[in-house]
Amino acid sequence: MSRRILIALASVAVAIVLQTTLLARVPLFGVVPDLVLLIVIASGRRLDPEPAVFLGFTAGLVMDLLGSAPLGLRAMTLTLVAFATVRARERFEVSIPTLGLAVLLLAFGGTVFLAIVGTLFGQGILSDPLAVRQMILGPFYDVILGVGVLPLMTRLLGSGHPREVPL
Amino acid sequence: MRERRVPDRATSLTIVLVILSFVLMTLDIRSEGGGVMGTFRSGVQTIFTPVQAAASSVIDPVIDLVDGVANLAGLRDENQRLRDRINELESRLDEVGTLEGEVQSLRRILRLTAADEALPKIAAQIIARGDAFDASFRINAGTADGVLIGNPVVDDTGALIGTVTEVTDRTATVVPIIAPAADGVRVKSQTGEVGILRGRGSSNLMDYQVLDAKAPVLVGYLLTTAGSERYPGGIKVAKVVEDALPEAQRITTTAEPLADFGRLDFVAVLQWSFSTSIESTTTTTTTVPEEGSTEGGTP
Repeated sequence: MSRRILIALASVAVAIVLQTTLLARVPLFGVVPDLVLLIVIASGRRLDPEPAVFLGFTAGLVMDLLGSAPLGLRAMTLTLVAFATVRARERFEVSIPTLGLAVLLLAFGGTVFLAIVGTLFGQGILSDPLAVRQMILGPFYDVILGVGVLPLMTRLLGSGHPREVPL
Repeated sequence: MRERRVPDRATSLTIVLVILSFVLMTLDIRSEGGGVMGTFRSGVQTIFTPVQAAASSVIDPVIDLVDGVANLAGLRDENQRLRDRINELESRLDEVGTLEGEVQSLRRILRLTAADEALPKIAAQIIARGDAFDASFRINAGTADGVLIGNPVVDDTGALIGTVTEVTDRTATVVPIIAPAADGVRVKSQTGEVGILRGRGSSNLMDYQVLDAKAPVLVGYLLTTAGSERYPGGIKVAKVVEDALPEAQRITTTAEPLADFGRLDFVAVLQWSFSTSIESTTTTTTTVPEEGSTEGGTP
């Protein structure tokens, strides 16, 4: 296992601990940012495609195991977020605004997907009046948090270009 | 002739992992958190617990401090409001004292004990919370401390918080009553009519529904557990926040839980489960208790 993958896994573990202890305690307007999702996006920018997708799955699975939602819900969501990051990174790694927009769209897509699939699997997420607020405000928080997290992850994982997926 | 596109390895891996996630979800729901999935969950929770507990012990005091400083102006107003409230309540103390005496004397006559007084409790601290769409939280007490799946959980004032749904040696997962995925709580108001309280999620309000209603429900009515397979009777749960009249013998209104879910740090697990309650009731009906002994609800 390469050094970069180990660093990404360690970052996910730290993100999970911070998400479940710190961020969950300080909601702003009832909304919390999703640091784990952000780390998956940040790692997806720098890792090779397969490790990036597998990292998304692992991060989601651990979150599922630590919570009470059905096992696999977040694993599926973060796998797809990682895959979308890997697929689109060539296009959004053009400038800082496009990167910010990409993080916003990926976070929004992941949050909406989680809410819909979670509701289909009996979690009643969409019946929560604050769910829409979380889906809209949450991705903006992720972008703000990304200002610090993305450069940090680039520093940790290196800025070398990973192998690209043929489109 | 068109060339057949072969999916790359990342796409294939994604498809496999998505299918695997779907299978895991289905199996987890079917096994209701038990079996191999439950064991796997317990294992990962056991690994993360020491780290989360350590992080919580550092983070919680800092957040409390920052919260206290940030709310300093608000605290002054609240202080004044509480002083007014104390004056108001002190004036009612004599009246309450008389009523309390009457209640205790009636309890002695009926040989009853209030639910939360009778049940042994285990104090626990919240060490981790779920993410935005997961209202559950984990506490630092588990089977080693006597916590069982299905035990009710209350806050420091005795207000109902939720139920233990997963338990390991040292930790337990609690699903709060405000979670949309949580089962409804069977409650009764001061009219004596029984209804169901259901959570709406993080909005901290709950839906209260009474079928076969005859009397109206008014703002401020206290809702307490009515006794069911999930909760013993008599635990305070919520207060009605909207008046409602029966329409076609049905009442649907809104209630606010008494527990402040946003500020929970410590909780108490009630060592109660329906099976032990049944055993206790059976024993009570077959033996004549001695004068002055307490009974009912204690496992």
